[in-house]
Amino acid sequence: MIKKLKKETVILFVILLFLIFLSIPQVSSYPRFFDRLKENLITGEAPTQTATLSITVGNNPPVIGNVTLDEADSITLTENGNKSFSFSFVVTDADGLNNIINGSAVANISRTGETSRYNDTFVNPNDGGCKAVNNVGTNGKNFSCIINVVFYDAAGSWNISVRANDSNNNFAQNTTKTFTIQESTNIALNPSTITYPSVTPNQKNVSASINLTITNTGNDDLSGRESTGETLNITAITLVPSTGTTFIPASNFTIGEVNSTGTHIMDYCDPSITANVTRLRNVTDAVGFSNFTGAINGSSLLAQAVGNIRSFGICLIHAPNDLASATYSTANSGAWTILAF
Amino acid sequence: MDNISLLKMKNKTKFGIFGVFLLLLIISSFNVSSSGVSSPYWDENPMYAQPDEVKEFSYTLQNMVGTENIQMKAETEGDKNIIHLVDTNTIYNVPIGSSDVKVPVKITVPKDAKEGDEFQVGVRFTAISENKGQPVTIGAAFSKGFKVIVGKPTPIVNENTNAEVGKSLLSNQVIGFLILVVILIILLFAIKYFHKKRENK
Repeated sequence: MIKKLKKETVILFVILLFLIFLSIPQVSSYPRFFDRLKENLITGEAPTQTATLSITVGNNPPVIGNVTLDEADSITLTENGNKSFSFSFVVTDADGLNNIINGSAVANISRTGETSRYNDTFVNPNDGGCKAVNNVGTNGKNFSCIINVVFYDAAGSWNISVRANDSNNNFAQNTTKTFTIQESTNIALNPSTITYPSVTPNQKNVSASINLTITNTGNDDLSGRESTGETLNITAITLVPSTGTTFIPASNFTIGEVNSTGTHIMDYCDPSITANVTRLRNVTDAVGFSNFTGAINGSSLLAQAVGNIRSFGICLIHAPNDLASATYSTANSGAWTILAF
Repeated sequence: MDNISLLKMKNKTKFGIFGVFLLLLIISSFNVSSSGVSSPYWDENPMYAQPDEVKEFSYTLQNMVGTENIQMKAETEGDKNIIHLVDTNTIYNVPIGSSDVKVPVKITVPKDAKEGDEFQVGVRFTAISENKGQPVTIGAAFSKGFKVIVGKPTPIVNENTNAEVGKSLLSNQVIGFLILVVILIILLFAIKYFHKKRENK
């Protein structure tokens, strides 16, 4: 009797196991069913999932084909602005194109460490989503999407994710397409000319009449660290008069951040503050006529919406004793250059 | 016209000239020079090519923020046997509001290059500054360099592809199976327990 019972139990177990195997693909076809289990979204209240599941089993889900970019990959961003990045994809549904919901097509682009950009009405109702632009045969619709990419979005490979629903709440997603954003190194200099008040020979620490504001208007981090090779450099040329032999060497100038913090005491005329002030003198310079090329100390200008602007003061730390009365300028020697890598 | 009127008129003219001078000074003070260069290749995104292969691409110059038209001079940097500017005139006009001034560049990998060889190349763009009669004129320059590596890039596994979706589905199925097996075992134990209880009676 006991043996018979054991045999029955084993048979029952095997049959139930077989049934479980058969039932799993059906259950898991319900979108995110087990994800919902993991996220504790099933509370036992209002069992709407059960109703949805029964409809899903008898319906053909939509399928999203390849995502096509409207422009050549890689893409160039727009300096200090937004760029409309557009692409399209075809959704097909075996139950006919009318089963695909026009307003359901949404998209986003993402990259690790970067803010994702959306055209997704489920995230932001004002986005508008992707637009159904034309039918493809009897079962397909072509959707066109536009996503705004911001000027400081990082260079590199980005993922595109698109999604669409049908009227039975089946959804399709395609996350296979990637595209590349080019690296854009952009800076704005304001003003592009620097003036000084009149100076007298041997005068010290004369600040320029206006500070130089440099704005990073691209997506390239100008880190200010030489180790990364992405510093802001300056090439300064000796100022000379239109006639005459006297001059003001570049080594008599300093450049430094005006609104810096830390050890900086806002004195960009003090070359001893090497963290934020740069004397425009090469180490090997002999006394006299002197040009300079090198990094601007502390000139970190990251690619971001806020904090991408720095103001620099340029100081004539000493007007040479022998200066003859004249206008000294770069006009007869060569313009100064702010170099970004 | 009496002397007083003449004096007033002279003063007005003086103030007018001074005003114009001041205005010019203010306008010249607010000149913004803005420019930039976009490149499909950079330090972290090198170009891969085969020996004897010729590849062409373009840098893109922009001037979207500036208040003045600019000209930029392009000069190759690094291994100049590898990189060449396609255009003979290498000074490019970049008008205000432009974002797509193309600078075509050609890369020619030597025939005798070996797999794994690397060449550092690039282009320096320097804004040509006009003399504005001010002591210090400042312009911008950009150095856009990258490596040309002989060979093929190492395939990068995309973190966000359908492959992962497949993996996720598989794990969901396994989780579901395990949950149901546990329920089944509990059910069997319960049946056995009640069966024994009934037998004991």
